[in-house]
Amino acid sequence: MSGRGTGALLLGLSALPLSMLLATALGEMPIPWRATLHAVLNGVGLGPYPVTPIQQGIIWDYRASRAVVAACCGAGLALCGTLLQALLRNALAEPYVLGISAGASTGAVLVMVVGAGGAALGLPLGAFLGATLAFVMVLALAARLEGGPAGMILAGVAGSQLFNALTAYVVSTSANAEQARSVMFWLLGSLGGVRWGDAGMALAAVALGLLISALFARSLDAFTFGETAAASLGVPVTAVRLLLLAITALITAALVSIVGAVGFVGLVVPHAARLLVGPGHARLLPAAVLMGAHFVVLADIASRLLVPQQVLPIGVVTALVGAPAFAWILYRTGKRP
Amino acid sequence: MSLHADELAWRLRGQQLLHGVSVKVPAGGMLGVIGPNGSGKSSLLKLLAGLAKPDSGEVSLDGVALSQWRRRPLARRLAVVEQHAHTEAAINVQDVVRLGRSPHRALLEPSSATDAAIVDAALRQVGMAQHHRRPWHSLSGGERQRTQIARALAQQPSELLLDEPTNHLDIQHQLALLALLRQLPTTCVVALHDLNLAARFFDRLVLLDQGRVLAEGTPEQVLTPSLIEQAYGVRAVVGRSAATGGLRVEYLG
Repeated sequence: MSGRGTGALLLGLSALPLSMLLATALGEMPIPWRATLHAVLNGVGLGPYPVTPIQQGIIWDYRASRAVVAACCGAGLALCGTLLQALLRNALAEPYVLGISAGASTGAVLVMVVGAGGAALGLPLGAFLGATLAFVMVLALAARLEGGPAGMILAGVAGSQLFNALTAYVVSTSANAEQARSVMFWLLGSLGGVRWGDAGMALAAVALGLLISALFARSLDAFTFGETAAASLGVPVTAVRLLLLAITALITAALVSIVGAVGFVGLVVPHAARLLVGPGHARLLPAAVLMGAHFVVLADIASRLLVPQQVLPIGVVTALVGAPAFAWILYRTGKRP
Repeated sequence: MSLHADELAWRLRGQQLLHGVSVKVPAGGMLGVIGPNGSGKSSLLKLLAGLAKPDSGEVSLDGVALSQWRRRPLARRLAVVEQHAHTEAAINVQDVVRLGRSPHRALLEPSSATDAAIVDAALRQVGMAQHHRRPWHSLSGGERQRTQIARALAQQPSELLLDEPTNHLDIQHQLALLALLRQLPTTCVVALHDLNLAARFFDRLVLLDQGRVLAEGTPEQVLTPSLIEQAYGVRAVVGRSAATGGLRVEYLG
């Protein structure tokens, strides 16, 4: 319990609005800082300041909601990664690698293409069912493989490939493909076109997940030496596992139905957070959530600035950072007996 | 009679691990569980700890079946040191021992000064106080074992179950560990291989063979040449040590 950890948490928390403001200020259409600030203040109800309706619309309805979704996406995926790594005792576990995101994509796509109109509630629900199905399949396969951490990742590869193929098939062959979002969206993720309604749902899912996980911070610590050790420390292992795994499926589903499958955030961020505040979950959970939020907000800025006149899918940017980090963690895990 | 196993039978993955094993653990004493590899020592400890459910029979603590105990109150009474403790977390010695306080704290209750004092005392008892900041991965096998025992002591149990705690320890640390367990006011159930250590440190022994209790009683009653040959297939002579006067087992091969 070092003071350094607390300081880092407070710094991360206070810097988050700045990251998000930066994301709001930058974009294809140059808008002066002053107008950006005014539009945001108008949006949160601290106005009115004089801003043109177009600027107000771009800043508040388009960019600010996008920044909030980006922050929630990073926070939620980092939270999922932290939970999965603790519960499955696997340094490489995260929703994308384990195929949970792919399952959520398939579920959402099926609802969109086959489902009858109820897209408002149907899409996230479909994503949740898909995520849960993928989860059960991958964990069952991993249990049969008995290959330890690597076996679980292989099971994840099998699951991802299967569900991604299903998604691509359904999107490619669907009659109303013009309504359906592109294959690219579901496989790589995109923050394009998100609105405040999406932000509200993402925020609710992540806040609920963080709140419940925080209650179980000490139980997560008890998993340090495995489930038998956790049970002997008084943790109702099966119940805690089921609850928290359901939370990860829920958050993944909510995020996938809004931004598609964004990879590697859940993998990289918890490791970085552990380096900063240590393995205790009372600090690790908020640290990972904050770092994840910063990471995706900044990755979103990069996705809009890297190539002029073009916006890269957010998943491309997170994978560019995340895949090398994945390799590095794999290398380190392999070295340790 | 605090901990009591009655006619335990347990089958796992098509293999019958225990056939009707009954054991009484004397309160405050040291019970040694001995027997050849695969005789059911670890299985018995697992059931005694309530970490698995037997197919038939029952373990009871204070006359109440373990199945009736809730996990957290049970963890305040009964602590377990597993044979292998493995983690990839970059956790230090003190934080491992702190885990032992978790059954004593409510969901969001922060760690108290009492908790810190208990953790410190546990670290001192196993001689790890000066190493409290060292990372788990830098510890030797013996230091890891002692750290896990400190974690178990921090649970302040009245029953302590240890599965082959002297594995991977040099002879000095084996003796120190068993002497430490003897000093504790806690009831200890210890699975171990070394029959001479079993003779020297334990009040009572249970000899298991192929999932059955072959003998139970004082070391003098259990460590006889005929029982040793029956269980291990090894001829032995049992005598008294000239140096200590204690029971001594010598193997003839």
